[in-house]
Amino acid sequence: MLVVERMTTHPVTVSDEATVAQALAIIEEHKLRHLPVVDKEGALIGIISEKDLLRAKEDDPVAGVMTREVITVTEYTAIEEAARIMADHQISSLPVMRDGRLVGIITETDLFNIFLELLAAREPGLRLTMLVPEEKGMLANLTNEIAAMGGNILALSTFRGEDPTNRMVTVKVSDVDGDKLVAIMEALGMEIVDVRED
Amino acid sequence: MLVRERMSRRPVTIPAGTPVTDALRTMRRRGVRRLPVLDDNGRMVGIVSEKDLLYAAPSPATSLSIYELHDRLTRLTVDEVMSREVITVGPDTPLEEAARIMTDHKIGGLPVMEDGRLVGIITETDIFKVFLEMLGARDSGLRLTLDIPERKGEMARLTTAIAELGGNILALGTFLGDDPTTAVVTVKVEDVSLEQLQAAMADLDLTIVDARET
Repeated sequence: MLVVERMTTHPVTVSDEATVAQALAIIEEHKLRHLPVVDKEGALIGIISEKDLLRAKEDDPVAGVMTREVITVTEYTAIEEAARIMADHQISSLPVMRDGRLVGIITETDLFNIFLELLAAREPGLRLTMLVPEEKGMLANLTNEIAAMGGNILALSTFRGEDPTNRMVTVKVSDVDGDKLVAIMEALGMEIVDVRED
Repeated sequence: MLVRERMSRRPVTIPAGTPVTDALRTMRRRGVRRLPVLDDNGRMVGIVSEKDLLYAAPSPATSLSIYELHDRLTRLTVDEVMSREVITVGPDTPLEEAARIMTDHKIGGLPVMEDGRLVGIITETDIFKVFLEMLGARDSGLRLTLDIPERKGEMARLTTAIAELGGNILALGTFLGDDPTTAVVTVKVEDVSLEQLQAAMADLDLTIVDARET
């Protein structure tokens, strides 16, 4: 999954000549937390957050309070790489550039929605969390058993386990009987942590 | 994956009568963006975010003198600006349910309650870290994105093919496809070459959308 597949194109921007009050009005109108700042030619010259604006005087020019060192990504940046950059720099949005032009923006909110998508949070199914031994082929065993039962995997994610010998897997499945699935997973050597229908 | 497995225990809290200026200082010093607010009996009565505090502070453009301003700010207390309707979760709430509540209500953190007691807090930042974990963002390996038919058994075919090549799956994520008949899978693997994977995926009739070393 790449940035281009989940970014917002044509992001709302603000001119470097606008005032803090004008920028705050735009942020409020569009319910945003950040605005890329562009010059007359439309070139990206900075970024400003709602918090920067709240700390500034209302009639200050945006150019005086914006961050000039903007960290950006491209459309072909991997989605988790964009997330890693945000986490490492403690920022919550990244302008997306193509050939020096601003073509989109990807924010914490977009990544949040992807997180929900990854875990099929908005789809009903049987949700099973288990500790899986850290061995090659375990995921194949797990998915093969589910397929053999006629189950459909809606989502499957892997997490750090309790120690390096295992990892945690959460899987959401439809068309299976919960008790039967649990029994089969236990027989494979998985330790069931949580089972629920949602 | 449940809230209890990734929440922060013993969250930083603040007494209801604390001046807004002190609360802002606490947030900066402790590196947090929201604080559960407690009454004299240690019961949670609200939550206050950095933004609530910043919006409560008079604008620097106000005509008040610096002394009047300072006076007003030190008299304004957190219980006057906090949210009283606090949305909370339990330690056994699934992580994605906590994330769904945060996006649906546009809030950045949820106090975790057990038997009426505050036992932790789960925030946007925690969810973010889990997201990185899920996609193996900090592991190096070969990263493939594939279009796969939305059909029973496809995931089994894919993981079996990787296992048969001796590959180790570091991370795997399933995304919605362009239409309901396909899904997009991103998988990060080690101990297998790109050429081997390309051949195996071609045998399975799966389309590689993107491949890269990370």
